[in-house]
Amino acid sequence: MRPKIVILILLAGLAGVIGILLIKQPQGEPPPAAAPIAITKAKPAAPQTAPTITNIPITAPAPVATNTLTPEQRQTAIDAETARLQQWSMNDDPASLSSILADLTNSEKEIREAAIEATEQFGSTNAIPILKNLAANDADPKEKAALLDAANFISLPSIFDVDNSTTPAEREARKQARMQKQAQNQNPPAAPNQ
Amino acid sequence: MKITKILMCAMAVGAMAFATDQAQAANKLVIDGSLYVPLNIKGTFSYVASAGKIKQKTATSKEVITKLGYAKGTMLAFGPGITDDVDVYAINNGVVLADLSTLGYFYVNMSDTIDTSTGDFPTTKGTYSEAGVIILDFASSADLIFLDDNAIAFNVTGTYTYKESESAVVGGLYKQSKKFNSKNLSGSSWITDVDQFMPVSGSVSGSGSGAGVAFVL
Repeated sequence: MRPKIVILILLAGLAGVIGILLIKQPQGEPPPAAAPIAITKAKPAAPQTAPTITNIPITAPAPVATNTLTPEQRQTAIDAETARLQQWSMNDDPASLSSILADLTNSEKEIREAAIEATEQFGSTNAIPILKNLAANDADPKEKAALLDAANFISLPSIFDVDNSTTPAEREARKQARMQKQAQNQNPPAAPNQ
Repeated sequence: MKITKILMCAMAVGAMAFATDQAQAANKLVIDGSLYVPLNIKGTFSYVASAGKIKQKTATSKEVITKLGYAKGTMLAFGPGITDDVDVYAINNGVVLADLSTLGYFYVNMSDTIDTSTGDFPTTKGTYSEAGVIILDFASSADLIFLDDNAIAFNVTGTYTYKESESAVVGGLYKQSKKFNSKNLSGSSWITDVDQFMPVSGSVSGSGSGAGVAFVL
């Protein structure tokens, strides 16, 4: 046999062996080990483009919970941040508001819920565009509704916004008229004789 | 509210006192050994703005406390109590400024319809949960009977859920937390400036926690 033919036959055989070996190997790389499930849930960051709030410094959310904490430590951290939110909501300063708004994107759902309540209590209309933008990017329908409800609540006027359209004398006169009407309803006049 | 009944069980084991922990350090919810739970109240009031037009106004607990003349930072809070009638307090920076229920501004009744508990506090972690009907009345001039004698007043009721938990006592220390929520409050209201009786809907919620010290007698 000629050497060229021998080499061709050997190469063809080698190629066949390699092909068989490749077919026997598993398809693709084995899947990597599952990553540990993080306790925290990633939330979309608060939009920073709302024009009415550009002057409010947004502080980073407090690091509250990581997967290195025990459940008790994690709950303690959540309680601590909730307590801070309660206090901030009673203040009127921009720093408190920015701290509250930062917690709207906290990784802990419980803190986000507390932050929504704190935003309502704080009562600044500057929070409305942030709440609406977060709602637009929130995949959780309940949280989306809570954010929109909060935005709507803050947009309404307060009952404590005094309306001086009536004077105390006018109000007293209306009260007297109302009491008179109530008395009449309780003691209706006798029906005329037929 | 049955919270205090659990506390009374704990008292059978020994006297307890609460101390400042990380959770309540921010706003000092433990005062004189008792845990106070800050309130978030919000209400939406519907009124006739003009012929054919109904509009809405709102109120929050922050505005209520301001209306009553307290300084910024003061919070409404449920305090300790031993009956279903829960007193509402004004607290600020670890100080009880007033019992607003005694003064006639608030009346709160939490009547549990169902309840359940787990654990065996203080040996193990204990939880207590209940659900029932809450009545929440407020009168800015302390006249809870005749709403229109107040500048602002409301009477609302709804269902609520309440949960309390205590960790096991370890080394004489434990943690207590309380949470409650009522999202379906409704009732009637009066605002002198609007000069109308109005329907109101709203919610009230609160949570607080503190570290406790148990002394075995």
